Amino acid sequence: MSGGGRRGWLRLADVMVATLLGFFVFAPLAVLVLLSLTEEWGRAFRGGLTLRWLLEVPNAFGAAIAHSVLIAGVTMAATLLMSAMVAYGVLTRRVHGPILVDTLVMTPLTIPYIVLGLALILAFKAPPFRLHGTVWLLLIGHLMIAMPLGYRTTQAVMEATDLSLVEAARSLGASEWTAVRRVILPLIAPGLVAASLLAFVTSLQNYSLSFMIAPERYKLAPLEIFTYVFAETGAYSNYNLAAAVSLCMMLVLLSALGVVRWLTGQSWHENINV
Amino acid sequence: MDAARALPRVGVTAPGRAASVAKSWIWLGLLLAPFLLFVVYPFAALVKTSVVTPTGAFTLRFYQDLFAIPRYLDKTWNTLAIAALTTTLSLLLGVPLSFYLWKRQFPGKRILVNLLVIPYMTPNYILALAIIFLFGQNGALAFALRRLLIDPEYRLPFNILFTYHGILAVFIFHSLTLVVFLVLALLAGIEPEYEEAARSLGASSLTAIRRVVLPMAVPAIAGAGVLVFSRVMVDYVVISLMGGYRYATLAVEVVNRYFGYLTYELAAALAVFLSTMTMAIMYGYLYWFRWRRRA
Repeated sequence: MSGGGRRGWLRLADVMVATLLGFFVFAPLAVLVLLSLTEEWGRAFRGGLTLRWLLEVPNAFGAAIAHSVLIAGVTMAATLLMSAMVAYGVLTRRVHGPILVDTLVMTPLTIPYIVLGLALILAFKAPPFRLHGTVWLLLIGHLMIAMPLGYRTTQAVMEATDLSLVEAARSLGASEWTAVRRVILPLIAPGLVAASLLAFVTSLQNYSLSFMIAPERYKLAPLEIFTYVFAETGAYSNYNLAAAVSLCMMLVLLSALGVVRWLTGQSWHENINV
Repeated sequence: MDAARALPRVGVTAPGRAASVAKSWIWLGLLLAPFLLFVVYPFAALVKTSVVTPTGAFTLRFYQDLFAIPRYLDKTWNTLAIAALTTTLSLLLGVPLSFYLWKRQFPGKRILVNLLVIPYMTPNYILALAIIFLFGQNGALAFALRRLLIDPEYRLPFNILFTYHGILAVFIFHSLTLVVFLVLALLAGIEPEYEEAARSLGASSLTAIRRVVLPMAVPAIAGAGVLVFSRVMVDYVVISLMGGYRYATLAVEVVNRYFGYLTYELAAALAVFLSTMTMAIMYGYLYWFRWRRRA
C-alpha cells in the first residue's frame, strides 16, 4: 500500500473515532437540550422552540429542588467542618492512629449505597435511636457518603501546605486559633471550597441512598425526575419536563465540578464516588 | 504524609505531655464517634439482623438460603454477569481507543477528550433517561425515522426498555468514557523516550506499544476495570429503571426483599453478601496495587 493510501485510511479512522467519541459525549446532552426546548415531543423536528418547560421546572419540581439543595447545603457545611477538623488533627499529630482514622472515614466508599441505606434503616428503626423516617437520618446518610470525598480533598490540600507556619506564627505570639485562621486558612481556602462543592454534588445527585432512607412524602429532585417519565396513564407522562429538570441538574453538577477542577488542579477521576 | 509526620508537634510542651496524650484520645474519639455510630454500628446491626431468627436465636439459615434457592443464585449470577460483561466490553473498546487517541493527532481531539467528562460525570439515572429519550420507541431516533420513512406507524426493530441490551447500553455509555479517561490520563504521563528507545532497538511501533507501553498502563487499565465493575455491581437505579425486575441484581433484590416482602433478614443477608464482594474487590485491588509497586 502506498504512503498516501495509508494516510487516507488513518484519516478515515480519525473521523470514525471522532464521530464515536462525539456521539458518546454529545448524544445524551443533545437529546436533553432538544427535548427541553421543543414544544411537543412528537413534533421535535418541526421547530416550535420554547422555554416553557425550563420555566415550568420551578413550578413542578420547586419543593423537591428546595429539599435537595437544603440537604446538600447542610451536608456540605458539615462535611467541610468535620473534614477540616479531622485532617488538621491527623496532620498535626494531635490525633492518634491516622490509619484508623483514614480507614474509618473512607469506609462508606466501599459499601454500596443501597446496603448503607438498609443498614441505617435497620439500626435506627427501633429504640434506642429512633431516627428512621426523619430528615435527620437522611442528612446523616448524606454526610457519611460525602465525607470520604471532602476529607480526601481537604487532607490533600493541607498536606501540600506547610503547617509549621502555625508554629512560626505562634512563636510570634499568636494563639493557635489565630494562627490557623490568619495564616493557614487563606492558603487552603481554594481546597476547602473544592471539598465543599464535591460534598454538595455528592449529596445533590445521590439517588440510591435517598431512595432508601428519605422520609415518605419528602420529595427530592433525583427521585422526582421519574415522576413524569413512567406515568403509564399518559396524563402525566411528560418527557419534555423530565428532560428540562435533568438538564438543569446536569448543568449544576458539571459547573460545580468544573470549579473544583479549576480550584484544585485535580484531575477528574480523583473526584468520583463509586 | 511523611513530611507532615516530620513536623514538630504543634502546641505541645514537655510538661504537658501526659495531658496532651489524653487530649489526643479525646479528639480521636470525638472525631470518630459519628463514623462509629453511623457507619460501623449500622453495619453491625445489618450483620446481626442477617444471623438472628425472629425469635432471637443465632442462625445461618438466611445465608444457606442465599446459596440454595435458585432465585438468589440467579441474582448473584446476574450481578456478576452484567458487571463482567460491561467491564469486558468497555475495556475492549476503551483501551485501544485510548491508545489510538494517545498516538494520533487530529483537529478537535483535545476538545473531545476534555469533554469526555460530560458522560463520565453525568449521574447514571440521567444517562439512562437520555438513552430512553434517544433510542426508545418514542425517542429521537424513532421520530427521525418515522419522518424520514413517512411512516407514522414505524417502530424501531429493537427495544431499549426492559431489555438486557438496554441496560448494557446505559452502562457502556457510563463506563467507556471512564476507561478512556483513566487510561489516557496515565498514558499522558508516560515519557515518549521509552517507546522511542524500543523502536531504536528495532521494534515496530505496535511491538513497542505492546511490549513497553502496555505493561506500564496495566495498573490504570486494571483500576478502570475495578471501578467499572464495582459501579455496575452496586447499581440499583439503572437496572430498576431500564429492566424492571426481570434482570434484577443483588442490589435490586435487596430493595425488593425489603420493601416488597418486608423480609428484613433475607434482605440483610443479601446486603452483607453484596458488600462483602464489593469490599473484597476494592481492597483486593488496593493490595495488588501496593504489592505491585513494591515488587
